Amino acid sequence: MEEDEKIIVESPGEEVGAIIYKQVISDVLSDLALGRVIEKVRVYVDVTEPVFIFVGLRHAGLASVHIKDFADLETGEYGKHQVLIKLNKEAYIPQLLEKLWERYGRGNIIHEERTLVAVDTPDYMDEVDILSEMVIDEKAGEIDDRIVDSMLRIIPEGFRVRYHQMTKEYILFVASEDAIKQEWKDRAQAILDKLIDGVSSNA
Amino acid sequence: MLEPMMYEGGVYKHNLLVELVEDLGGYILQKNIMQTEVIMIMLVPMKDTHLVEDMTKMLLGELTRAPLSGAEIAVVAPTLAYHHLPHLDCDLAEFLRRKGAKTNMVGLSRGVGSRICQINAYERDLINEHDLAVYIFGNFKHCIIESKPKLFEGIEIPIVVTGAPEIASDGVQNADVYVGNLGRVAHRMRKGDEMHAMDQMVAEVGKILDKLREDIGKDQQSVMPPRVKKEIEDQVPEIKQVLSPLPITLRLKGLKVKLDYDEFHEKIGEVSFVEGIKLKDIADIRRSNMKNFILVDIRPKSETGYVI
Repeated sequence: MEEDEKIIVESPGEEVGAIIYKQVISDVLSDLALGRVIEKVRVYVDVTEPVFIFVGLRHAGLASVHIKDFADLETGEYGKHQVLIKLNKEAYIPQLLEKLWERYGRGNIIHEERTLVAVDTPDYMDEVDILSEMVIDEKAGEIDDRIVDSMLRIIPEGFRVRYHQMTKEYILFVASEDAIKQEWKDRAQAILDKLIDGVSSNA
Repeated sequence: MLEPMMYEGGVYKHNLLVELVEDLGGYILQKNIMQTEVIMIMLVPMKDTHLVEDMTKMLLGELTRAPLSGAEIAVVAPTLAYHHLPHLDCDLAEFLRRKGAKTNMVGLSRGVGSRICQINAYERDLINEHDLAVYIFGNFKHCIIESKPKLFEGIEIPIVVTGAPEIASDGVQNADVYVGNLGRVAHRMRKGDEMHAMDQMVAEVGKILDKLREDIGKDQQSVMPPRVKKEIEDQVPEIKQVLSPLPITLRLKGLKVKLDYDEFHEKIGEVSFVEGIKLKDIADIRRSNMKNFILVDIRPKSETGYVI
């Protein structure tokens, strides 16, 4: 079934170009490790216009990582104005320290044991709650950056006038050398609608 | 007649080969030593090639013909952005180098797009300093046939164009040859058909260079470029201080000396031959657009009246 194909490139009168372009897209997506992030890709290129339309459906992204996901928090011993962060996973220590230093200053962060970080702060009662909700690693943001990077690599280099939409569900890119026409945007929207319909009817 | 050849082997005792080639009246054009490996491109008198082959066998090296030796080729890309590099452009340049050519990669400042692509005077002059230009284009036939020939304006050297679609080899206006199956890709060229396409490209380049050599042969150069190279190396000691991989680059019509023009062009002109002739008598010495280097264009016999 054509609808099931992951990448389809359509280019009137340029069959060879379309085949090679499909290869370029799959190379770029795999280079940037986006193969599992982007579910389906539909591309329409017409070099006589010239216009390049890219529509991609995204998988639901990974959730952000909060401190409470990998650590237990409590207030320090009696008489000490401290929050203690007991780490269950060491993977996020660099990002965690970076964020803590930024918020409390280096002098107030005591990291003497590998899995224990103490934060000196006068408002330790409130800070315990604020800290447990703190976002340490934002996977979605990083993936967004990579998607934008992949777009810039995929579209022909000379097409510098661009129109784009990017949401958690899809990416839509229209690029050309000339001012973007409404009909191209409409065509992109139609491709997107068809793609979304196809996926929801399959589900 | 001299035969261009490439030797690949170990560093150990490779000097024996260098001495043999020089004794036979040949020339070492390029010698690259990489750790324990050495790659040499040389010109060997045709009737003595068997001696070089025997020596290569003794040294356990490998000898191949390098048909593009002595030519400087411009590999022209619309820009030097990641859309073109490193794959395809570098792969093609590497392929040309393996056959003995000296390649320079030229990235145009505004070569992208179909309607908006353009080439400026400096780039044009730079490309014209080479013996041949290989233009690397993309995946769309319309683009290659209709838009990109703008980039050939004012180019006086032969042009080879590569791209993905199937177009007749003379199908691109103002270009000498078109080679297909080499479009814009984002992976290293290593599959069978890709290698085949690159071989084909090299073959086409070789054909054009052979024709150019033939044309030059009809009105012989007053002196052979490799001989000038040898004399410059012997008489201008500063060339040994140059760190470029190829301080003196051979071109079909002469050579490029990688020394500052203002400081050294007179000294290069004074280089003399045993026949009592100076280089400036038989060659035009001019400024290169590339980093102020010196270009030497050797005049043909019809202008000077003699061959040395």
